[in-house]
Amino acid sequence: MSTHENRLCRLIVREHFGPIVEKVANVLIRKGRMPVGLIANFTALKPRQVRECLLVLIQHNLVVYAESQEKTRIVTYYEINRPELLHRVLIPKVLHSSQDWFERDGALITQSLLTHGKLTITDCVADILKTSGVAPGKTTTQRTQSLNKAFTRMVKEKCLIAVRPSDSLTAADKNMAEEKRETDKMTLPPTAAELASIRKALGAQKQAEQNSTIVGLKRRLDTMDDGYGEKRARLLTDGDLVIVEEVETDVYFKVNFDRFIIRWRNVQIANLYEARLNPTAKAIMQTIMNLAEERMINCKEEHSSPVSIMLLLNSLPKDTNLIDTLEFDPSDLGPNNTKPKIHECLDKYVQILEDDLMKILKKDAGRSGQYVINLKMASEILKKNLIQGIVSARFGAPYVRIMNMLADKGKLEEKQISRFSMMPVKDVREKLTTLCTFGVLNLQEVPKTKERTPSRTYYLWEVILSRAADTLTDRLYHTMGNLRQRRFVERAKRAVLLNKCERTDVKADDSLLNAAEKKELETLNGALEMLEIQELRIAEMVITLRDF
Amino acid sequence: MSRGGGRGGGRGGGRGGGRGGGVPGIQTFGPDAIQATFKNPGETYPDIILPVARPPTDEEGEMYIAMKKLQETLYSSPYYLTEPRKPGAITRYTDRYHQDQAAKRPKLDTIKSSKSFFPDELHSILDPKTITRKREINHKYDISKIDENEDDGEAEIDPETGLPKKTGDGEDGPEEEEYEDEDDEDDNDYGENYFDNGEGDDDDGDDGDGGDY
Repeated sequence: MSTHENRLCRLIVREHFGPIVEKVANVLIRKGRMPVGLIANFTALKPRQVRECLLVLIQHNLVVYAESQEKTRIVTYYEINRPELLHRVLIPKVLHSSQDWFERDGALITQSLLTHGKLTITDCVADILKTSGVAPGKTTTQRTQSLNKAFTRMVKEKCLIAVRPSDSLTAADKNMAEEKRETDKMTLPPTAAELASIRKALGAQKQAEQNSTIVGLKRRLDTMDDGYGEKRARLLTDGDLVIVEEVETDVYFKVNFDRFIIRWRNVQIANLYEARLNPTAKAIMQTIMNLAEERMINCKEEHSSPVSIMLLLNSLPKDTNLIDTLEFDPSDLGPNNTKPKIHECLDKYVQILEDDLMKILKKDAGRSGQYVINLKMASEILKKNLIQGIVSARFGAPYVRIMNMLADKGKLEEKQISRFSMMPVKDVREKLTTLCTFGVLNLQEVPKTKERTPSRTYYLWEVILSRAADTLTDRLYHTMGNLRQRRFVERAKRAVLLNKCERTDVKADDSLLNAAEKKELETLNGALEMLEIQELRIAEMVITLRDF
Repeated sequence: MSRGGGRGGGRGGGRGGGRGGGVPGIQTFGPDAIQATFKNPGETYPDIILPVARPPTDEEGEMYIAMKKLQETLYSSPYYLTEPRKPGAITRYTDRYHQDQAAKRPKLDTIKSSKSFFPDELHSILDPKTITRKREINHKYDISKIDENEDDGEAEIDPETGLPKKTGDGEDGPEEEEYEDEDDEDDNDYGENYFDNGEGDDDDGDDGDGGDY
């Protein structure tokens, strides 16, 4: 909602969908929800062009709409879907992660879905076969089967999420319609308490829906030929029926950015322990996060679901060396100095992780042998580490010292800060104002008298993590907007050369470009690559501050 | 406010790196940074040493290539909208080699999507044979039923949108019926241009009705 965020959103739309869609998106971003006629007025485009732009944006889940009854007409209002738009800066990382987790098929599926916004499994597979063809030695049927398998796996792991027609409606209007449905059942208008309880019940219902079965996945019994030309149910060796999960062919799917962000956050939480303890601790933590990940919906949850230690023992990677990376007290090993068993080592490791000062892993209060991750604490630690890194690179160690002291001790006056940090008051005052202007510190005034005179007021400095994260996020949006705009400027500076490269004869024959032009193109590509990569690095910082 | 801006390593790529030794400059980042203060503001536009961004890793290089490929796919997809190339005043020899990208791209009605995701007024883009008619609320009142229960006259509410559902009789008609595209008639939002502004009048010199002012 700040100017920098608006500019970044506009530039993302311009890069992905062109200048005409950018005009429409810009109006929606800056002025809020409005109907087609008003958008056409502000953009000076024809209504048909506006409708085409809105179609493109709705197809890519960037705009939602609401139909409102005004006298005798029904007017459709369109609104920008900001979170989905801002997630588009993470597309390079999403593509790379899809390749890592689901191999080449997963990367192709993700690319197809990001190109088209949302597709059914059949259309997605058809699109991939059309663009990338079939590798030699494989038939189309085999390729289709392998793509279907990859797609199903991505849906099961929630990296792809089903899109329903109701997802194109604005969330606020949907909530209001549900509330109206509930309040219409009552004879009298609801009181504030009743309205609050209705909203809580609807929220819990939504939560339960998200935790239940995956939308778009159906189960059927696996069948096989019985040798007489008929199908019968396939059985396992122990007589159980084989159930096969399939994606429904008429359901549309899109890329679920939240799931990717959850996984990246889990990897970062596990990495915390590699620096503090050792790589084996990181592997154990990573396994715990993987087991708890299935029930995670978004990054704002406070605790994970419980993970049992027996399940953890069976799920650890084969190459995890628990025994040799631990040191045991010789008195505990017994007279024969026998090495402890694996489950004892794991118990010891889990104990060490639980006792760690970060307090991320803790026992589940209700059940024995089960552990829970404190996701809220872990997110705060990740944010704090990042903010410290930014302040350290920008200003230096003394500033970080002051910031850490305030984060640990709460609100302090400048005299106390000067005493604890062993710096003169004059220097401390200068550093405090610099950090406050930067957005990391907050100032709380506590007047001693009613008149609020400066000489009779306590000035307490503090670090409020959420506010610091928001301010720094805005600064980072500014930087990302600058980088993106710089890419446009670099291309605009060489517009004549790029126009020449677009010519059909030059595309067919490279030698029509002279050496200077080729060198200029290389310089351009190098600059664009650096700018894109820098923007991606900053985008990773933004998700740590905003989404974790 | 400290000089040098508040950008952490963002500009390193474009500038190509910091200056070498021997060139004077002020360090504005890191522990040796010189911060401007009220008493010592320093020069107005000092030479500053910018930090150099670390080079891209292999992973980042792969991410860039994947993004570039997606960018090219989006550019040639029907979702990238541009104005068609207008012929210039002078015809040049190289015009034959320039392609009109807007004409090369597939049209929006070829995309694979479902009408249920879009409001009625956008259906004509997906399926050009559809005309979107303005949905009006059916306010027909039957005088003979005026004494009956009022609840029978209310339209059924759609649970998802909270609006009255479309009735399946009277004005709306069956959905399979073909409609013309309203945009073919006019490029404005006026549904009925009943006021012709005097263009169609055969003026015989009568005063006419005139306007009431």
